[in-house]
Amino acid sequence: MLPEARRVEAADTASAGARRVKPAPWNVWYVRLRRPVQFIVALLFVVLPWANAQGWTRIYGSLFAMNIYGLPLADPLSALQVLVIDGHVAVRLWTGAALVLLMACALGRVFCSWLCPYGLLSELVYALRRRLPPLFSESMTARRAYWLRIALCAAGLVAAFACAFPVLQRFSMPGELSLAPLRVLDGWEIGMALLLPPGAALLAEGISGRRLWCRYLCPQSVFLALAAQCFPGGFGVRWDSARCACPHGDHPCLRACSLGLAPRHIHGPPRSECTQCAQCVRACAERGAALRIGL
Amino acid sequence: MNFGVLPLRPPGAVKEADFLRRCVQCGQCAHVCPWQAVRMEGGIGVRRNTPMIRPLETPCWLCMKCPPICPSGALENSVTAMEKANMGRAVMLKDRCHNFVGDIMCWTCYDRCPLRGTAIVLENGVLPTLTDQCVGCGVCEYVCPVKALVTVPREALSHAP
Ligand code: SF4
Ligand code: SF4
Ligand code: SF4
Ligand code: SF4
Ligand code: SF4
Repeated sequence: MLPEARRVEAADTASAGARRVKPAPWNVWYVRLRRPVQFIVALLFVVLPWANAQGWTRIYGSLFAMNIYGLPLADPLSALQVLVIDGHVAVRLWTGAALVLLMACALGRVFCSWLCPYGLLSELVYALRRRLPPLFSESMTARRAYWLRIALCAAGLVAAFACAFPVLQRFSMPGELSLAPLRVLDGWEIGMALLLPPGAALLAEGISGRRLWCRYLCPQSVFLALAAQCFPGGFGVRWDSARCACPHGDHPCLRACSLGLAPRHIHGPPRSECTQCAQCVRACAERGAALRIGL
Repeated sequence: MNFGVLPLRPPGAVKEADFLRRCVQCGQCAHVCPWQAVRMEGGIGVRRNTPMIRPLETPCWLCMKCPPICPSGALENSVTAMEKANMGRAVMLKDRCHNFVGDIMCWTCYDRCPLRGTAIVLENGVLPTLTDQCVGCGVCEYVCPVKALVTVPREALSHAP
């Protein structure tokens, strides 16, 4: 009697243990650190004009192109537009672009979930809005949305060539937002006018409850996505089907993804679309920890 | 006086049409300027977010920090000598200048010009006179107490009187 009861108890704890597998500590920190880093980056751009004016110029520039302790970083689209419009190979821009693309190749689109100020605002709006149901269900597949962004980006490059100026810079949310604090010097009215495009996009996202800009439109994400896709084995979300404990039709990971992606694939969510925000990993940690982020 | 809509670009800027093709609006030139002389243009036209200098607010003091850091080739990185800034030219409105009018002896522009003695010389030791060495930094426009100097961007010069 006694030994049997013990056995049952042991089996119970074993199954409970199996159900509550602990996610790797590194994954927990990844989730915890992300939001503070996003805020710090946004804050950095806010104080940058002031810090530069005080004579501290170790970091300068915007997310169009910047310089960090002598290291150039650039939006690949900036470098490409100069090439397309003027046939000019801007060496420093391409060096910066290459570094950014390498990062996207190895780490996926971490730029979007760790650094982009629009990504931060868009995620916050989404998080606030999600108490109410979204206006429509995501009918376009992630793959199609990707192609839509590629098409718009290509159209923007043609327009840039035709208009002889980098038209796509107008449609860069990270660029506009990181440049905006510089405009405070010119008075608030201009500063506010500059915030109109990101403001309008956020409003549309708030109304619809969908991350419209990042999913369907953002031209700057296209080359990051292309680079990310080049190296499927790189850092990213992985799914272990054996651990997946959720009953059919009840997947917290699906509900957690603000971009409407499905992470339940052996290779994880589509690498071109996933921003590595690890919201799905966090949701899954409360179930079987079948999702993890890493190599 | 109106010289059209052409803005005064920072030192070392390439031709205006090429400038618009190349400048990726990154704001690095604005960030490194120790005087905050470089402002990013507003509006929604093609020039939005491109760097310009409004001499009456803050002129360029020709420290030459901005040309070498431009990543796109919109500012020529090799331009590091003040004399090569080539932004434009200052134009003197003699009917306003104290010294020409003859009421007060002033010379502020001559004193403050970063290229004093070459860009502005004193004719007969009295009359401040601009030479073709003037690079159009806008300092004289900024310091003149009676707004007798106007800075004309390089490419507007052909239309200037
Ligand atoms: S998709 Fe574009 S706007 Fe959205 S987070 Fe990425 S870079 Fe920023
Ligand atoms: S799949 Fe996961 S990590 Fe990727 S964007 Fe969606 S929630 Fe974030
Ligand atoms: S040369 Fe110096 S003062 Fe003039 S615009 Fe450039 S950084 Fe500013
Ligand atoms: S540093 Fe060059 S590319 Fe950047 S805003 Fe200035 S002129 Fe334009
Ligand atoms: S600062 Fe003005 S008023 Fe004085 S000498 Fe020069 S141009 Fe004339």
